[in-house]
This record gives sequence, C-alpha cells and structure tokens, in this order.
Amino acid sequence: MANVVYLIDDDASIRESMAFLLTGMNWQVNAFASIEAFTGIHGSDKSLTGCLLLDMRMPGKGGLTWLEEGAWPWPLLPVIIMTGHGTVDACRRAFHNGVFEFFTKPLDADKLIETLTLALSESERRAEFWHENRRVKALFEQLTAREHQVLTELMEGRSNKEVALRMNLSPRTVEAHRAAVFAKLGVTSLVQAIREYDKLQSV
Amino acid sequence: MNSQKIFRRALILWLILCLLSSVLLYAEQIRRQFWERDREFATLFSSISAVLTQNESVLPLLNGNEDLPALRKKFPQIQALDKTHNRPLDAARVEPAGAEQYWLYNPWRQIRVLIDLAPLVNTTHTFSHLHIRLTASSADTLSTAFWHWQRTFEQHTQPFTLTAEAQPHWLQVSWVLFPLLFLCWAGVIGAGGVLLWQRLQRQQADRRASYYQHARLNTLGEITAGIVHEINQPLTAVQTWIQGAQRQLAQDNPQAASHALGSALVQTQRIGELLTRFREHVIQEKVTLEATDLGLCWQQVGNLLEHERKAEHITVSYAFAPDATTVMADRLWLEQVLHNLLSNAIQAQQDNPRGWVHIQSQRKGDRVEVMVTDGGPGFSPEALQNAFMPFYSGRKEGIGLGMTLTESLMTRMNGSITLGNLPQGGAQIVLQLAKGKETTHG
Repeated sequence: MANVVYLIDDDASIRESMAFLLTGMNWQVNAFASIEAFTGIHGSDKSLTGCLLLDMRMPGKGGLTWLEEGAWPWPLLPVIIMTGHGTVDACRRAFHNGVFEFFTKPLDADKLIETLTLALSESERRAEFWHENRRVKALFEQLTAREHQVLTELMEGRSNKEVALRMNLSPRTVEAHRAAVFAKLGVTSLVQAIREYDKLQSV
Repeated sequence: MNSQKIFRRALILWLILCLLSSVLLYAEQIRRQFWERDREFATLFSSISAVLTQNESVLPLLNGNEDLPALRKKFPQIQALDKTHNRPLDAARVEPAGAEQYWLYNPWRQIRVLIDLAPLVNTTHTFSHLHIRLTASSADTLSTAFWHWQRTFEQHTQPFTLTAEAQPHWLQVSWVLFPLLFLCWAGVIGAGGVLLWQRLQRQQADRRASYYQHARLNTLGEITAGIVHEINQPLTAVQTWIQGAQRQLAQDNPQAASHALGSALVQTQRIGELLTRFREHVIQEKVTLEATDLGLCWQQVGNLLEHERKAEHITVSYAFAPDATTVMADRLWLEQVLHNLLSNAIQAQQDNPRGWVHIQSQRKGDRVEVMVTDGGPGFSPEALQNAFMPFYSGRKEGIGLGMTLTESLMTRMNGSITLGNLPQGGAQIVLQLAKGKETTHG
C-alpha cells in the first residue's frame, strides 16, 4: 500500500518545504491550499488511507472548525494538526475530536516524521481491520433469517436438540441449517463461526 | 452615575426632607400654642380656686356685723353681707345671683355674702370662650372649637366648673424658621452630594486609568500575536527545509540539499522583509525639533500626574538655570520622556511616606543638561545594565517598554540619556539635549 500524506496549509512555503522533506522519506505528498480543494477531490472516497497534515488556522475554514463540524467522513485517515497558536484550549478541542497528534509551529522534522510513521501504520491497521470487517459482514449477509436465528441460538450455547425444541423444528432441520451456515461462512466449527461473528461486533 | 443623576436625586431627597421637617416644625409650633393656653387655664383655675378657699374659710368667722369696706379690702370678691332669718340648715348653700355672682349662705350663723367672680373670670385671656358654671347642671354646649378644657373645683360648698375653649392660631406661626430649615437641608445635602461626587470622580479616574492600562496591554498583545504569526510561517518553512536538507545530505544527495538550502534562504529573506515592514509601521513621521520650554513641559507633566492618588505624598520641585530653560526637542516627546521618568520615580517611592522628585537644568556649552533625581532606592546594578532593553522591568507588573521608549525618543531628538545613582541612594537620570533657538529638522 502506498504511503500517502495529505497536506492542507494555506502557506505555499510550508507546502513546498513539507513536500520536500516528506518526499525524501519516499512518501507520496498530496498538498492542498485549502480544505475545499481537498474535499473537492477526495470528498466521496470513504476508504481513503494515509495521513492528513492539517493547519489549524487558515483563511476561510480553519482545520479545527472543520473537525468539529460533525462525523469525520474518512475513518481510515488519522489527522495531525499543525498550528502556530498552540493554546491549551485548542489542543484540548483537537484531541476531543480524535486527532492523532497536535504540533505547534515551527515543528521538528524528526518528530514529525516519527509521528507520521506511526500515523501511517495506524491507518494501515485501521484499513486492514476495516477490510476484514467488510468481508465478514458480506459473509453474514448471505445467511437467511432462519439460519441467522439458528446460529444465534447455537451461539448461546444450546445443543441442536434444545434449539429444535425452542424453535419448534425437528433436530434434523436444525442440523441442516447449521450445515448451511457453516458452508456459507466457510468455517468448520461453531468456535470459528463465533470468532468471525466477534469481528463483526467489534467495529 | 453622572452628575446630573446625582443632582436629581439630591433634589428629590431635599424636597422630601423639607416636606417632612416642615410638617414636624408646624405641628411643634401648634403644640407650643396649646401648652401656653393650657398653662394659662391652669393659672386661672388655681387663682379662682384660691378665692373659693378664702370664701369657705372666712364665712364661718363672720357674724354679719362686720364693716363691709374693711372686709372688701382683704376680700375684694365679697360684694355684700346680709343677715338671713330662719334659713334651714339643709337649704342650698349657694344661690346664683347673676352670670358670675352668687350668694353664699352660712345657715348656722344666719348670714350670707354676695360673691362676685367676674373680675377674676373676665381678666384678659386668650380663650375664645371662658365660663364658670355655678350650678351642677351639665348643660354642655357642643362647640366647634379645637381645644376644650373643663375642670371642677374641689371646694365642697362651691362645686363650680370652669370651662374654656380656644382655637389655634393656624397662621400665627413663625414662618421665618421654614426657609432657614430649607437652607439648612440644602447645605447638608449639597455638602454630601459634593463629597459623593468627588468620590465617584476619583473612582472613575481610577477605573479609566486601569482601563487605559488594559487597553495598552491588549494592543500590545495583539501586535505581538500578529508579529508572531507572520514570522512563524516562514520560520517553520526554514526549519523544515534545513532538516530536509540534512536528511538529503545524510543520504548523499547534495543537489537536493542545496536546493533546500536555497529555498530556506528565500524564507529567511521573507522574514527580513517582514521585520523591515514592521519597523516602517512603527516609525512613520519625521521629527521636527524646535525650541521647547522646559518649564512648560514640566508643568504639563506635573498637571497630568497631579490628580493621581499614588502621587499624593510625593514632593516635586524644580530648579531650571536661567540660561538653560529652552532645549531643541519635540514638545510631546519631551513630555513623554519626562512623564515616564516622573512616574517611574513615583512608582519607586510608593513605600516612602516623604518621597521627593527634583529636576534641574544647567548649560553645558551648546547643550543643556537636565537632571532628574529622586528619593527612592535607585537602580540596582542589574537594572543599570538592562534598563533600556525591551521587556526588562524592575516591577513585577511592568511591561518593560517605558525606558526603552524613553531612550529611543531621546536618541531621535539628538539627545542622550544616562542612568546613575545618587551617592545617598536615589536614582539620578541625566538627559542631554541641544540648546538653541532656530528650528532644525532631524
């Protein structure tokens, strides 16, 4: 996966110097002069990965205001805030909105690179998790309502017979459902099915 | 609260006080009238009572043959003396013979005397109605009079009743007291109002002073924040370029490093331009130096600080040499310099109940030397070193720009400032300025 750093800063000198520094790390740098320019290109891509370097105060919309606007549309993209006005209040607000790190300008390149490395691996981890989650979700969506019901009962720890009794089915039918569920999920035991189910729950 | 509001409140308070106190004063005067009448009634009653007692005591001693004129010398109320015949013992002892005349009988001795109370009752009095009732009948006539008195005599053979009525003299009160009272209240309220107004004025002045201080600090903060923001951006870029260049060098890539250093240089030039622009903002106008009167400047500064409460205990004195009263300076700037020095001296002597500041001038060739000395603790060695450095302050709450400004103003007026201490410990500040008459441009 390509390591992409998205950079939003209104000052061209910052964009250029950052691009130079980070390109030297073999990272791809996509710089934008404003938040509108960024959302114009990547606004609809929910699965955007990499890392976002965001200036806090800019003409028009500032970074912090943007973060506070509502649900963050890029769940896989960690945000690093940079600012020349690092007040405690701004910092608190930033972390309240789930930023990955908060830097005051002028910032130290070594620390920035270190943090970016962490942020990129965090993004990768999030992406992996997200893909796995999507896969499992697709698997479970194949199940019929009846099969889902049977699986839920089985996961409560009941035997085939007990399930049959509770659902007014014959034990044979329950067994057939169980086999169908296992086949659809691509598992061979109830324990494996539960592990897959857990991945679905822990989003 | 403004003065108009105070005035209106004082006026309302004055009117209320005047109204209340004049009602009380009037009531008191009417009450005094009542007391006078009451005392008069009591006096009259006791004099009649004395006569009645005389009658009771003299009647048993008479036998009917006394000489009437001799008797009347002692008892003028007795008009006649008669003998009676066969008057029963239980007959009435008193027999009215007129409005204020009656026969008083002594059945044991068979005599009677005619008593006339008219001279007593009809003396000059102030009652509207005065009457002595000889019979015991209670034919009280209701009258419209304001005050009534009624009292029965205790002599058991003459149980008469003295009644009196009087009307207050509603308008016969001493009117001159009222304006006096109003004037008194006006004086009291006026004095109170003036005191209150002065206190408010002082509070307002204090508040205004602290407001200006805050405004100045806020402006300073805004300017500083602006400068910091403007410089921070290129500074960040420079740092990033240089650190990028270091990394490129470490990777043996001198061309990229050189490019980065070039870009960093461009940014440092940008910082330089920013600073030049700031300085141009700060120093705008050209200076015009002209002959300025030291005494007038000093007076102006003294006026400015005169009303400050912190300066109340400081004695300010001056001695300008006759040939060193005018200097080449900008008047407002010189005032600013003197103001800074004087307020520093005052600040330094807050704990000294007998502080003083002295200014003197003397001629030194074609220059004038102005020396400001005070009775404070003087400069510490550290302060002597750093006093002109921006943001250095000997006070905790000071900003540290006063002396910096003073020095730059003196320099721009082609003058100089030297700090020192007096041998006995106070601060000694020497200003040097050109002496001259003609106008030059600097």
